[in-house]
This record gives sequence, structure tokens and C-alpha cells, in this order.
Amino acid sequence: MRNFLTRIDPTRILLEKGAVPGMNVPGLIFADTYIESLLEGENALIQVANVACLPGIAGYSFAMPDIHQGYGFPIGGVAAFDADEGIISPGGVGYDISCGVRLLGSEIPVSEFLPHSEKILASLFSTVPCGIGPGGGAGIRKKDLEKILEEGAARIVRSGRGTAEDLERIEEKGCLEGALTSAVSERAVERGVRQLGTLGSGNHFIEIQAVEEIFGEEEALRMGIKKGCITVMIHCGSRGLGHQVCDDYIKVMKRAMERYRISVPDRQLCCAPIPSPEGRNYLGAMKAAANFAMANRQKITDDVRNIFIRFFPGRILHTVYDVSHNLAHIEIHMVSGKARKLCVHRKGATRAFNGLPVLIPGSMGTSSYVLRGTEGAEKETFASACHGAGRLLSRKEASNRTDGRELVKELSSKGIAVMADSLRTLGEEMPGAYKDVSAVVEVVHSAGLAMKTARLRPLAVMKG
Amino acid sequence: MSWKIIDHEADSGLEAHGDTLDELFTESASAFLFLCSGKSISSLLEEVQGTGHISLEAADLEELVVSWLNEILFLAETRSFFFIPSVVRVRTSPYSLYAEGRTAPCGTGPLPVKAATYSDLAVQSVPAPYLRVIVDM
Repeated sequence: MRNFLTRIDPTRILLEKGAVPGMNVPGLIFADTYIESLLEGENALIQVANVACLPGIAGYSFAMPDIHQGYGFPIGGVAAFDADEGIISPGGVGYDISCGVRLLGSEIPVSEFLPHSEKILASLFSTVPCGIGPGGGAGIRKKDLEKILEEGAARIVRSGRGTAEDLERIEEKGCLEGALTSAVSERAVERGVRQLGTLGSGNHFIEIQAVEEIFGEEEALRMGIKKGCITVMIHCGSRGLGHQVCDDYIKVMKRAMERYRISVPDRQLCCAPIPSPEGRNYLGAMKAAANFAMANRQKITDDVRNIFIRFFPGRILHTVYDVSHNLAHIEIHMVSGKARKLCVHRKGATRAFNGLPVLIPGSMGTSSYVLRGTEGAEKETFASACHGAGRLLSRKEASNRTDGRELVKELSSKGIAVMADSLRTLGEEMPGAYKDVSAVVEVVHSAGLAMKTARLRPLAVMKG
Repeated sequence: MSWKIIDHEADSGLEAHGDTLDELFTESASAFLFLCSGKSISSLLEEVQGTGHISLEAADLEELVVSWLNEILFLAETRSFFFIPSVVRVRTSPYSLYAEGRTAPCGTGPLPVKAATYSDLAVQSVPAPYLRVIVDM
């Protein structure tokens, strides 16, 4: 595989056609020498090459600098397919459909927050459920869930849990049009009714941060990010409902591929033509799951605000932005000088349209970043950038190096308070388990895909 | 114990062995329940509160394995119990499974498992039943 890699410039590596048989396009990996040195084992590179084999792919099979091995598609992978002749693949979105980030900004100085940090964290922990059942998600009626699948965050705002301004600052105004509730299985609905407003586990979190550094004054001002003030970052997705939609449609696509005479090098790349009934149903179900995820983050936002208002009456936590990093969108992009309608799959990658915020959460104990999308990203990567730091160590390796209790002590010694639902899985999220997020961000910044706007330092974090 | 948890760059996985397909599926459930709960079967059996059964059909053996494990996950998320199989009967024409077992409460915390996947999936019934499943965490 390494024989097919050619460095083009300090941030770009070409993966030539022929790296695996059947590649329709080359791969393009955004990586400096540090990221390149971490591409061990070549599993992620093989996945980039496999994606390039899929029918109707346009441009390149992209890999962002947080690339690592996923299921079929690599995490950090971006691929766009002709909307009429190409395919759609659940593997190109992931099990956690519309996993994403909501960032809230404030004018609350860090110095005012710190004396309350433990109480606020404890309140968050006791208020925002991580799981399900009694003490977990409150449970909603099926017909209410169906409305949420259709209307997304707007439904939550209309119930009094948010503002019109929130919707203006959520991707697609908090609702993907064209969601098909009929394409969402009963099993997915059954999982979803108990999980609205819940955080989940693993690398999902609510983190209170200090705005430590501003790189773009004007942009930060426009976003409402102020140095020395706190922000709150919420990272979660569509929970069991989204996982079930993915699982359901992997089965559907596996069975459909024979009919459409599609063969794929990896069964997790199973797919169907976008205009086919299977393709349309998956797209519709995926949009419904994304609406659930955006509603989920809106509900959690409301919980967070209700806690903060008790400590800081009259101080608002406004939405800076809310964007997914596991989603497929139908978009118009220029390819070889012609406007084409494409289905852009971003799996562990964020939309980076010119001027719009790009939210990059760091790993536990490390900085997070706010960037803004660029024309460069629109021209080169179908408006895409990275989504996080990217895993470096397996969960087992990470938990062999530390356990949850040790990690809590270590972070506490750095002034970062942590509360977690499960210490068992906390060790797996140790900072060293991930790449250096600053290095990842530096690559997309230097490559001109997304420009740094602010750096956020963690103060307190709640994990599922 | 004829199963083990295996390493994976982003997530986790399990391998299981058995003398028969029935045993293989039983062992895979033990491994999967460990990933879901952090507990061994013997620990879970100390918390048993009820009984249950599972019936599944699938297009092939691979789909049957993935469906089996994801059914255990589905029950945990929607019924709040872990299904601990005591009898598993696997049929191969057509592919189907019937299991009876006991149930133990799984608490309210989020489960660390998202799904059993088809990634790097390996299932064989001959010469010796074996499977490997990567699990999205």
C-alpha cells in the first residue's frame, strides 16, 4: 500500500489508483508527516482505497487527518456519489447517525464559573440522563417521537425548550427535510422512545470549557465566542434509534446489491443506487434519525440552560452552532467545472461550507477547537473537514495503560473535574488514546479547509 | 470458557469457539454480554429475575450471528434486561435460531455497545465452529 502513496505537499498525500483492484478514483489523504507516521497497519488506507471502488464516486476518496479504521468506510472518510448514478451506503454514515456537536457560548467569565464548577457538574450529572429506563430517558409517546423524526430540533423548540435563534444556528435549521418516518422500523422507534434527551456513553460528553485563545477576532465575535468566558460543548448522536436504522439498512442493502449487480470489496460497504427504493428509504430513514439526534442535542441544551440559569440568573447560553459529523447530504458541487448533484457521505467528518463554524472536540483533557469552513474546502473536499482527534490506541490498549479512577485523579490534578457514568469505559477515553488534536487541526488549517477561530480548554466534563 | 475479547483499533470484538453451532452461539452471547455489562455469565446469573426466549430468522449464517447479538442488545435497551441463554438451537436450512434463557436487570446506565457489525466478520461451522465479530462501541 505504501508504494502507492505520493506526497503532493506538506498536507496532502495521494493514494494512487491500483492500490487495490477496482479503484475508480484515487484517494486523497490530508496528513502532515506526524499524521502520516501514525498510519500504521494500513487498515485505514485500505478502507480509503476500497471506498474508491464504489460506483459513481466523484473526485477522490478523501481521508481527513483524524483518519482511523472504521467499518467499511474509514472514520474521517468523505466520499461523494452522483445522485443519479451513484450509491448510498449506511457504512458511509456510521451506526451513530448524526453524531455531532452543539457548542453553546456565553459571557460568563471563567473566574465566575470556577467557584460553582463542582456543583454545576454534579447538577448536570444528576439531570442529564446518560442511559435509559427509570432514571434514564423519560420516555415519550410513539406519536410524539414520530413528530420529532419529521421536525427535528424545531419540535423541541416549539414545545418551549429553546429559541428561534437556536434553530438559525443548527445545521439545516435543525431539521432535514424529506425524513421518512415510514422508513424507520418499529424496532428503531422502540429504542428511540426511551432515549430522547440522553447522552449515551463512550466518547459522548458534556464539557464546560474556557475560551483560551482567539485566532480570528471578527469570526469569533460573529459567533459570540469571547476570550476568558465559558462555553459548553455537547457531543452525542441518535442513540439506539440511529444504531438500529443503520443495522436495519445494512441488511436491506446486503440483500439488494445482488439485484443491482453491485459487488463491494468489504461487506460493510453494502449499498444501493441512490434513486432505488432501498436508497431512497435509507436516505429518508437516515434523515429521520438525524432529526432525532438534533432534537436530542436541543433537549440536552435545554437541560444545561436550566442548570446554568440557577447559578447565573439572566445570563444566556446561546447556540454558537450545531453540526453533525456522521451524515450523508444531497448537495450541489462543482466537479471538473460542472455543477453536479452529489450524495456526500461524511463519516467522522464535518461539513465545512464557507464561513460556517466547524466544531472539533478534543479528547478528554485536551483542547477543543472552533474553526470556520472555507471556499477552499468547497472546491477541494466537497466542503468537508475533520471531526476530532482520531483514535490512536485501541480501547484495550488504552484501558491497559490507565483505569477510570486514575484518569479522574490525573485530570483533577490539571484542574479538570470529571464525572462519569461508567469508570469502566472511562479509561478507554484517556487523552493519549487519541492523536494530538492540535496537530489534526493544524493540518486542515494549513490545507485551507477550515481556519482556526478559537481554542477551548476543558474545565469540567460529564461522560456517559 | 470458549470465548475471548479481541482488540480492534477503534472498538472491540469477540471470538468464540464451540463443538456445535448451538454452543458457538451460546459462547458468543457470553462474550457479547461481557462487552455490554462488564460482567461474566456467572455474575449475571446471580442477578436473575425472570425468563425469556428469542426467535430469529436470517438469510445466512453471518446475518444470523449479527442478528442474534443485536437482539440481545435490543432487549437490553428496550426491556432493560440482559438475556442469558441456557438453550440455543441453530438451524441452517433455513437459517434460524431459537433460544430460551434467563433475564437479569441491566440498570439504567448507557450501554457501551452500539451494535455487532459485519466488519471483519468470520463464521464457520466446519471443520470446527468458530466466529469473530467486531463490535461498535
